[in-house]
Amino acid sequence: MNEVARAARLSRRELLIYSAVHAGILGGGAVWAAVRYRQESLRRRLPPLQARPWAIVPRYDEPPVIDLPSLRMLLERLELRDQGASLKINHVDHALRFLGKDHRPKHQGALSGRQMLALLTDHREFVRRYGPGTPPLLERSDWGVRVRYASQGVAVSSHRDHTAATLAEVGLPLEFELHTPQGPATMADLVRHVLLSFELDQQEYEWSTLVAACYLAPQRQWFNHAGRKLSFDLLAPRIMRQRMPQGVCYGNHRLFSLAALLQLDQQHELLSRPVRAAAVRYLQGMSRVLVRHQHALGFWNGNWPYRAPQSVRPATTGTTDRLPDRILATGHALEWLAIAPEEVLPPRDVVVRAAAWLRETILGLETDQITQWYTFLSHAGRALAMWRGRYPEQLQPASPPRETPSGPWQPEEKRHEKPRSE
Amino acid sequence: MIRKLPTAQDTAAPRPHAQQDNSPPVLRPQLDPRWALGRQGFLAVALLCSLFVLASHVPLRSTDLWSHVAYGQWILQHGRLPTEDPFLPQYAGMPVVDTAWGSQVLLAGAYRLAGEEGLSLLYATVLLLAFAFFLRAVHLLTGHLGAALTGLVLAIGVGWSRLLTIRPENFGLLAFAVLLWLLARNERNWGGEADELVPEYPEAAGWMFPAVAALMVAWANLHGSFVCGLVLLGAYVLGAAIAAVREHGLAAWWKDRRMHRWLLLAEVALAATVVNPYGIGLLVHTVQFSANPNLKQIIEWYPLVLASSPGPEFACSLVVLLLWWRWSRKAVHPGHMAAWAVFAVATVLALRMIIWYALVFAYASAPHLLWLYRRWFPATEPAEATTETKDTAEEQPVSPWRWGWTLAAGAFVWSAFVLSPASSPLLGARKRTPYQIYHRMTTPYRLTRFLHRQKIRGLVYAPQHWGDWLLVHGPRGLRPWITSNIHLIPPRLWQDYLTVWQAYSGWERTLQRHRIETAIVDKNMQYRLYQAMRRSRNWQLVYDGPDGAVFRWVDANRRQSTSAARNQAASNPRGNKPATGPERSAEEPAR
Repeated sequence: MNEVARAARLSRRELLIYSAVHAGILGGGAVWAAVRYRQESLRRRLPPLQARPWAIVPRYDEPPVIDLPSLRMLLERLELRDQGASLKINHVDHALRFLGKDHRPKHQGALSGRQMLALLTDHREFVRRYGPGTPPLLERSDWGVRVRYASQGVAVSSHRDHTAATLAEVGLPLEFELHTPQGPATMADLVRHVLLSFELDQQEYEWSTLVAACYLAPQRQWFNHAGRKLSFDLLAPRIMRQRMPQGVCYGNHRLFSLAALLQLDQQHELLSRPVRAAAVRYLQGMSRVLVRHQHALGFWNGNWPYRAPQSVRPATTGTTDRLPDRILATGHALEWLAIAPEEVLPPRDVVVRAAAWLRETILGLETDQITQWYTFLSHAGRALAMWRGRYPEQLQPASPPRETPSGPWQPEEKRHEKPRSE
Repeated sequence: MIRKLPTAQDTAAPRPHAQQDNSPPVLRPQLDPRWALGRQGFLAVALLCSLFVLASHVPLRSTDLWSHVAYGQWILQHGRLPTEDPFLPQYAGMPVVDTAWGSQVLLAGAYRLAGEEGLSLLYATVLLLAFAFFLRAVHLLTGHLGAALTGLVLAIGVGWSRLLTIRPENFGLLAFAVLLWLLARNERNWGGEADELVPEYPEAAGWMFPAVAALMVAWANLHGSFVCGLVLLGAYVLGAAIAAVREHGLAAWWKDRRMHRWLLLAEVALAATVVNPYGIGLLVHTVQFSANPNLKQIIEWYPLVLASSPGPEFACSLVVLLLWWRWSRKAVHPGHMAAWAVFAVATVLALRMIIWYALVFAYASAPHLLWLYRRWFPATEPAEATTETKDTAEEQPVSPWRWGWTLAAGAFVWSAFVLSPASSPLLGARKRTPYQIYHRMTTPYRLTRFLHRQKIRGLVYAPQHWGDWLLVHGPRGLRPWITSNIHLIPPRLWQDYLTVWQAYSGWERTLQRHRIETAIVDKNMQYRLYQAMRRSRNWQLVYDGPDGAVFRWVDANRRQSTSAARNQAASNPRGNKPATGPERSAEEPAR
């Protein structure tokens, strides 16, 4: 070993000192980085969710809108008939939301609430109906469980997070068991997927908003998978940003989500004061547009933000003024108005006229038409029931209607509105 | 500079025949002989001055420069760092780790003091310093100014594509050059001695620890490229381990003092980088940064392609360096080799790394190039260039011609100052027009004046390479949809932007979903979108200039709601909910 080589070699003592210094610096840095990473992970973790979702409840009971016998008769007509493997999941979704998970059908061959719920939440039931070759409705995802959705198809949801919102609106608790092809899961997994995969700029945000509000309140913010901090103060302006009638169902679902946010905000202060004020102003503006553009007979159509329908006879072509378009626009409008705050509402006669038109129209429909337009009709039927201060499920004989405008699944202690702090 | 001094003949004792001496008085330089530059010294000054002049005339592009200036202004105004993007509400909730806050403040300060000319001057000065440090680094490494000049030319030749834009990365370049200079001071003349084919691997000197630590603190607060400095030091650690293994066998690397010293230096540098407002979070963020999926669509983050710049430069450098290493009998510095390999791989993965690679390539190749030069052209080697030590320089008489080169260099420096826009305030030259200051091809200057005249506000669609420009130069209240802060863009928003950029199916609906009612289109790069908007009944062309076009949204639905309802032939027999709006994408869910 030459001179230089000897000089380059460390003695045992030097080696120990160097090793200790390296370990100290690198180890300390690693610990610091790990602590920092953990802090960041904890900060971005989902806040605690509500074990049972908050209910979005009808606010008003207006007998002039519809009498209860007519309502019952109408609801009977709108039960979902079992069509075997051709039954659309989209229809099941709507029917469950409309009739409730405890619905007991009057007609033979109609689906009960329990059956509908099983079809949406249990892959075994799904396979029994649609066959093992059909792509599953529920799937495991990176963040929990997701519902497959597509614009076309029978055994698939039609809108992003629509099914999750339905399950939230019918009050499924977090521990409710789901069955996916990959094994059992819970409703919490589904909610977690909705919240973590949520992006403010996603194409359809209406139902995701509902899920977030129902399970998150009184928490006001959360972080999504990309580390973006989301809050209801961001969601409400997002809902209001687009022009009407853009969005699903001529934009009415946006209005429903906004009205739902306002309702939950009254209890949990989800929104800041300026955002709440802006939301109320926005809905008031929409309400004024409805008043201005209502047909004399009481209905609206797909052009509701622009002008009133010009003719009594519905169009036979197009996508804005056919009879189903009128049912869709009118039913959805009454639905969001039923949960909106008082200061937003149009004069009552506007609602009464619209409800009367809906009642007459629905009662006059053929069975085939009901099957074909079921999704629109489910909103219309639900809206009419909500204007009587209850959900269709509460009109069943065994379940007497509640007199107060509180939802059927809202926990007693959570019904009271908290005074808004200054 | 040179003046008449009493000569030795005047002061010394009278010599015989002194009275007959009619020769002219001798001029003695008062300056230190080191100022006698010689031809190569003059070339170095001339090259640096030329680069300064060129850099000061590089037009300002509509790139991320402007959002950096805007961020810097915001920081100066508020006295703190932003936690979210302060300008674009559509980025709300996205956390900001401002890795370039120091550079942004410097850019904003220059802009505040002297406007666009201040930015140009800052850019030219930073580049000048970076190149000067690099030149000196190679000079110290090889002890040969000609080799240093060649190294500088090689570095610029390979990395030129990253030098034409003013951005915080320039400060990182300066820091990288300073780090190379520090390393070269430590391994001075490593590559200079022709007869020493396998020089001893240098040990990290004690003075390097505070110097590198101070540099890394500054670098970490200037730009996220400080990671490149850590990588370079890591390569030296690896090099020391390789040297130890080569000299003493596989088991020796852990007992080698040099390896431990370099490792300690790298650790000190790493520890220094946490001295910043984010602590260790900055390091974590910077390392994770390149994993951002949005960056995949940005050209500078593309993998290297040989067919387009800087692919050919990279390929040439790769071939020549391997050949030089093969032909040169001088041992390859293990640290240089490790650094070269790491930065070459990084460049292949993301072509924006070419600038760091270029410096490492030139630095690593200079000793071997010099060896080959001496081997192939032994007769042309001037004596002056081979001796650089102070002692020998002082002993040798300085040729008057060398002072002439110094004079010429001084004239060159003055000329460079006169030719640069920096002299305008002092010499009263005419100010540059906006078309001279801004890059004519990429800056929508006329279009921006139109926006001002029309007082266009609110959210506008604009290509991301114009977003930063519009943020600073657009009318007050105008909000570009996105800027070049790609990493801040929420994933879905970025996808929407790309849909519109390519005018893919659903572009119109996407714009409406975001309620964008003004669209600015770069006709050169977005011709497809330009044509699509011209064809659309919902968009009206309101400005069509050489630099771009502006479209405004018109509510065609409102105008034609009734007639459209009558005329639309499509039926909806399945009962799917109807969609509204001008166009419906096949991929979109049913409405």
